[in-house]
Amino acid sequence: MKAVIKYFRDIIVGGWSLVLGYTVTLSEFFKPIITVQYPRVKLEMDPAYRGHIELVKLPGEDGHFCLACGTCERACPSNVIKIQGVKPKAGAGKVGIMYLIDFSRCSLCGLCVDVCPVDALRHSMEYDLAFTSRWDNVIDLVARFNEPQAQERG
Amino acid sequence: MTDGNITSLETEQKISQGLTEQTFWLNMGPQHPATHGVLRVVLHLDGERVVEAEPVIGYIHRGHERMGETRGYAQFIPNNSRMDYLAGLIYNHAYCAAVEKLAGIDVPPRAEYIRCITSELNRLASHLLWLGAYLMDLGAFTPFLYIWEEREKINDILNHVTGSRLTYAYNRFGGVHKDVDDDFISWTRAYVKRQRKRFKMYNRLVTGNVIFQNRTVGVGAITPEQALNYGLTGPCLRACGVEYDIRKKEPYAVYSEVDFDIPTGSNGDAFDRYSVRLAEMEQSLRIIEQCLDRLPGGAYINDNVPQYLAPDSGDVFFAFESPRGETNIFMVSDGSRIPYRMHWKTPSYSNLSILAEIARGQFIADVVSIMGSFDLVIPEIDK
Ligand code: SF4
Ligand code: SF4
Repeated sequence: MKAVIKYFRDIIVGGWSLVLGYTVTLSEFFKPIITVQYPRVKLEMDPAYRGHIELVKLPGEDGHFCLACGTCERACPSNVIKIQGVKPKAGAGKVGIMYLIDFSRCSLCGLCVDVCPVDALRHSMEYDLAFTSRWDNVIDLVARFNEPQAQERG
Repeated sequence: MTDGNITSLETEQKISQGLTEQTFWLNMGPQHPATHGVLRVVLHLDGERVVEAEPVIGYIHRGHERMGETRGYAQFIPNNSRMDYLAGLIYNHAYCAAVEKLAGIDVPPRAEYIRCITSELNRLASHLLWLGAYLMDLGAFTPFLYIWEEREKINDILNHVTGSRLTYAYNRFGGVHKDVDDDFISWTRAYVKRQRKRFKMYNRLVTGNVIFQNRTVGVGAITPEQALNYGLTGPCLRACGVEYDIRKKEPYAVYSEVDFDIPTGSNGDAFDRYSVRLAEMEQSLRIIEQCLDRLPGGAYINDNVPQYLAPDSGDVFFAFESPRGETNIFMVSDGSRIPYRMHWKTPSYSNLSILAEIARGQFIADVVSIMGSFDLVIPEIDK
């Protein structure tokens, strides 16, 4: 007798738990859609986003601030950065003319940005980066800086 | 009935006789969806029953400890998040706290509170991910989508303050690398409120569900003695009824100042591990709320930390509670800029070790349920 009662109780309790579950899924039908149809629709990036590094471009300033001091090169855990600097004229300070990063090795840790003595670096807002060759990951930040579409951010 | 069928009946009988005598080996993994990573479990099967289950690890060994011994202290920070990719901030926090203990660096109180809040948010994200993935292991797809909505909220909040969504590298020696703003605080408060409501939904959708109950209650039960013998920690240990949480037993950061409970289970089965994690999430919400209420002003980083740290020779031991259990860091400094020795003891490694014992005699489907309930993170086992 006990077994019979248990049998029917299990059916009722179990069945009711499924009904409760379905009320939840049913009510979700009437909630707004939260999925974004990427890549047709794109979300606004948060300004704090850490993309690959880039040279700071400030409004009203012509050049970048990199002194080619190499501090960031030494701080980077993954040997991402290679810098070359020249002295434009005798007695003047160095200026970076080539700033290569190998993005495929970068862990986006931000240690280079932290250590730069003149705050010449920042993180870019680029995110969907996919390349067909690993050499496309090597980006010259100085060349990128000189491109007309380089973003000016305060 | 045709002749052909009669012979096939005979063959069938022969086969079934053979099967009662024969056992066979089955590789579960290294590419199996239920192992959540490259873990291989060699199952010795008698029909559907497991005779022996032997985990084979090492498929994602990257040598993080060795990497730590070849680079400066600060340069190891990005590696932390890659050990346990679900608890990047917690590992980050702990590594920085360990180095601070070794080098005697002061941390401003605001930074300690920020670290606690972000760590607890990370713990919630980790538990939510586990919950969704575990239910998917058991065949329930819908809860996964609902639960990940909340995880997405946490990721957005953390993205706003740390700048990334999974591998954070947010903590620095002596503080954190960016201050939190009012948006962060209001979003977190809104999230806490929302998450509290969602627990009711989880209970309706999952906890009472008859299929879920049948798949978890009494499955993979561990006794407290077994758990202690195998060195289980975290929710797996607490589900057996042992009240052990590093945040309470050896408080670090500001955990001694906040008020929270250690949820425990009683049977040590998969269902208890589930309930303990759910209860833990509620405690995390409490911790976050208290920390937000008390968040002091002032500096968020100690500016006097040198770029190239060279702590005096000595060693440090630091224990912390990751979402999967107690994790220990042991570091030896010889006074140079590079650690002489770095060792990490991670919880999933010990949690996995008990699988061989409790999987014996279970069905294959239950092995999936048991392994899922351990919340294994394979990169953390292999490091
Ligand atoms: S970016 Fe900054 S740290 Fe790096 S070389 Fe230029 S000035 Fe030095
Ligand atoms: S973000 Fe980190 S890994 Fe990337 S270039 Fe800077 S220091 Fe190197």
